Amino acid sequence: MNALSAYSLLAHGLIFGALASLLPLGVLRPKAALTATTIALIAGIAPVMHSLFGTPSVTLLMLAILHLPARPLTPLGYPGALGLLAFAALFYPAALGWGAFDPYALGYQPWMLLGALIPVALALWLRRMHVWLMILAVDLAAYASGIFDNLWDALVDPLLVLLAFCIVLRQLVLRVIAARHR
Amino acid sequence: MPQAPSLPKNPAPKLLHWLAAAIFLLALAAAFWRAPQLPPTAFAATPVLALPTQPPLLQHDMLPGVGGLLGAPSLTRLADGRMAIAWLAQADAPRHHDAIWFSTLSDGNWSEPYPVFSSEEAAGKLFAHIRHLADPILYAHGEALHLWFTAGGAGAHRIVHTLSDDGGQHWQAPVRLTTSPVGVADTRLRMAPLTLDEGGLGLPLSPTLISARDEWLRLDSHGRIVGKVRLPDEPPAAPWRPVSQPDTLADNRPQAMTRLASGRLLLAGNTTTGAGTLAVWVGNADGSVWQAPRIIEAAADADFSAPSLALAADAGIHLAYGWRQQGIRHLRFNEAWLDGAPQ
Repeated sequence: MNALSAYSLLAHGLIFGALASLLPLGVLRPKAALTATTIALIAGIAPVMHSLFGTPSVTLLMLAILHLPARPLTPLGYPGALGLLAFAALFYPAALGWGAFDPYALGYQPWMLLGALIPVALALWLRRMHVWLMILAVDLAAYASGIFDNLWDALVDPLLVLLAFCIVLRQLVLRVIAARHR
Repeated sequence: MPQAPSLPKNPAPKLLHWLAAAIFLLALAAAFWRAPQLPPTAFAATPVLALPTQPPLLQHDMLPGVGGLLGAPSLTRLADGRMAIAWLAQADAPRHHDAIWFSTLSDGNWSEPYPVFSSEEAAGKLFAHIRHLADPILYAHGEALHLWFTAGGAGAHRIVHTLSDDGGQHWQAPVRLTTSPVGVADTRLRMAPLTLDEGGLGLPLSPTLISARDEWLRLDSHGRIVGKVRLPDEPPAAPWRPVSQPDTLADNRPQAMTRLASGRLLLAGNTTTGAGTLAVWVGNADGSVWQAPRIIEAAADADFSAPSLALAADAGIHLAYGWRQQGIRHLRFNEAWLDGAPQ
């Protein structure tokens, strides 16, 4: 097993654990997450997730890890999720063959992409969004380690977009319910 | 009223603020350091040889031990001059899945074939759910012998790469190549790679249902992806240029092409009559003019498909193809035979 496969399996195990921690189990939530992570790795759930979704991004892995403690950190809110969905709506169709420009190819020689991340990081720093700045730093460190051939794979993945979609959907449903109760 | 002495401010938030910036800058510098710097794409030119006059040569044989043929043979010339071939076939035991087999040609005899990877072995080594293998492509590049194939699992086909440094006796652990941001995107291989000037390789990908455009991967000498190129719809810019193809070629069937020692192009594929006729076409150096086809096989209701071409050290031409879905036929011929009267 190479480094990318090992990373992918462990990351999918932790993501499955973070999903289990969403269940309303009260104080048992961290233990449920740990159990689910172990089951995902032993029972073959992680390899199936690896086949279905590919390698998870480091961003998603970091969000999953931040969600595991008894007092979870959830830095991805509604505005961030909405922004991610807007980005995905442009990025994925083009990367999968819609049009002559392939934005995914930029990630193999990511000089432009790294340059574009500097103002993003500056904005995060000025707004004191340290958690996101650290997530971005870990993404870049993972790319620099050689695990990923493409920088995009460290930054985003379809499961992260699915998570953003769920956050946006939940917010919209809550708004609709609140409007009905007025 | 005297003021109470003020407590010193907690320095932790300020420290965290600057520490986060420092860590980010370090990671950014490391990412810049790791990002590959590549020269513009330039394909290596095949040296043109002045060939001595030779009598026409045509030899043929069948590869040994090919049972349950499933997929395309792939020929290449090893660094020591031997020819090597890989193909996809079903294992004998009913519970076994498909495997990629390998054999070498030495002194006119094929070695006993052996499986490089079965689908179970590939699944075990990649730790992924794999149901079947497809599209083996073998290519010798210097001392390195590359093997690419696609592995189909719960999602779709993804490209796997492995490498041998000893002419195919031992193979490194396979690695899945990430060619798409979506795990379920179907990626298929098309034909053997081309050598680039800087020592890397250009591996063509087959258009899929999602991406109907031609794409190719830029690989380093170890087979790692360092770039991906999508070809435009319109007449492509340098180093690409449009090439005509023979009118009698079935362009929806697998083909193989190589540059001969004389500098001309050789194309192998099925004719427009279907899978029952396999032929080769000789074209001029820029592919603008093609001669009439030389028919290799022709039989009604037969299947002669998936040709693979490779050039030997003595400028001899080797052709392998699937024969009636029963085995692999291997032909060795020379340019003098190609220049004989067309059929």
